[in-house]
Amino acid sequence: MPGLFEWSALKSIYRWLGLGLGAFFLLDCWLALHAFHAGGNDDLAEYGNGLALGFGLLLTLVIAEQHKAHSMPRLFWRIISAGLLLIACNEIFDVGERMDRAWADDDYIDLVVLCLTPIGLYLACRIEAAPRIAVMAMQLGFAFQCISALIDLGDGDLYGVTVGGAWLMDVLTDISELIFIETYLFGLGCMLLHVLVRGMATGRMEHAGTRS
Amino acid sequence: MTPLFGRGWRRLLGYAAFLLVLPLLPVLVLGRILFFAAIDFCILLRGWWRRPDPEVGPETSKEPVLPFWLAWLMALALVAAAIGTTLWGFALAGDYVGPVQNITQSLIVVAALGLLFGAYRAALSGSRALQRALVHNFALLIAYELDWLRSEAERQTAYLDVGRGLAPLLASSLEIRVPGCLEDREEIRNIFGTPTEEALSHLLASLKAYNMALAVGNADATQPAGADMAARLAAVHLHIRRAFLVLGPYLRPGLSRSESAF
Repeated sequence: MPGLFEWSALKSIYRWLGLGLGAFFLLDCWLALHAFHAGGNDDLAEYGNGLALGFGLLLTLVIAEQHKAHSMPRLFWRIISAGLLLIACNEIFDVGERMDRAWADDDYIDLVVLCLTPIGLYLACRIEAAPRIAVMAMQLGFAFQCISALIDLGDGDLYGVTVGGAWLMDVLTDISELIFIETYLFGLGCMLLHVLVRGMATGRMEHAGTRS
Repeated sequence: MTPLFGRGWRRLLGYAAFLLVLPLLPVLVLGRILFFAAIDFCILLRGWWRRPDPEVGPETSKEPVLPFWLAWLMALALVAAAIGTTLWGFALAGDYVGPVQNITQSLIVVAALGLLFGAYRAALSGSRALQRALVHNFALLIAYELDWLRSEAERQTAYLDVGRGLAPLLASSLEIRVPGCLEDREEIRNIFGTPTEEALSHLLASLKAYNMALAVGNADATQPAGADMAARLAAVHLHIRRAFLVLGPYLRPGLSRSESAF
């Protein structure tokens, strides 16, 4: 479909998405630093990450819905959604720490996620024939994720980095996580728009009135 | 392979699940009513606030994407509500002990999952609204091209009426340009259906026939100018009217292909 993705209406959507994500990031930073100065904890930053992951969950679920039932792409996106739900629950409720198991250490989970992420990104971009902007966003997001992992691993057994105290490091870790999460969200948003346009072109419009 | 649960057990499980979800139904119904009331109110405000566009071009989106934005904002709000409900509920359940605490926490989890499901439905509705808006915009693009074709054909009909009996001019001054978007027949068929694609194909064929007749008439000066071209122009007019007819339902906002007259 030549040029449909370049329509001004669609361009305005992903520009507003980028602006909204940027505004959310600034708000989260302000709230997190304010809460840190007030109480010395990083809960608000983690809740912000959880909300961002919840948005990603919605995006992946809607992308899955654009594919045929019982197809591999829909199954793939449902698995990604389940993974995002687990990560969001872990981020908000610290499930791993509550379990108090050696393998539930946050660092191990982050490393596993870091290894699996490029595989998932590659498959997602291949399945959807993602547009260039989505691919670039995913690549940038992975770069940020690597940086965030380096910061996060600094509180573990490998090496220790403390700048301004452990609580501030937690806040910085959460904010660095939010950066790559939001970059991925931007890529997912562009991918969703691309899938919606393609779904329109392949005649898979659902039967719907003005209200569905 | 015999199923794990017989039909009776499955029905019982279904009833149990329905009873669990039943308390959420009034909230979901109320939320749906409020959501669409808010959309109608915003559309009303927008219609009252905005003056009609003095000049509308092909790139102007006539189909509002406001429902898309509202739906996704609603979905995000529901996700935030799910997180907030879970945190608040678990803090509240900390005051209880034993089975009461477990039951309270289970109910909180069910409520949070219900809110997440509502968010998913809202996001899905918003995405479908965007697809309808895109179809409407594409139909508008085609309609603008058809409108240009109609005015061009009318101009050339008037010119032929005036110039009948005179020597034909060079073909390039009368040839009608074929709009590029009308040639993507596969995409048009996939989006608007076969009747629209056929109507536009006939229009393209009539345009090309007219341009061909023009070229032949100019090459052979012994043929009378205008008679054959007038007939072909009349065919172009007819096919333009038919194309508008089949495209008409898609130019009304809020309709999908299945709701069109064809």
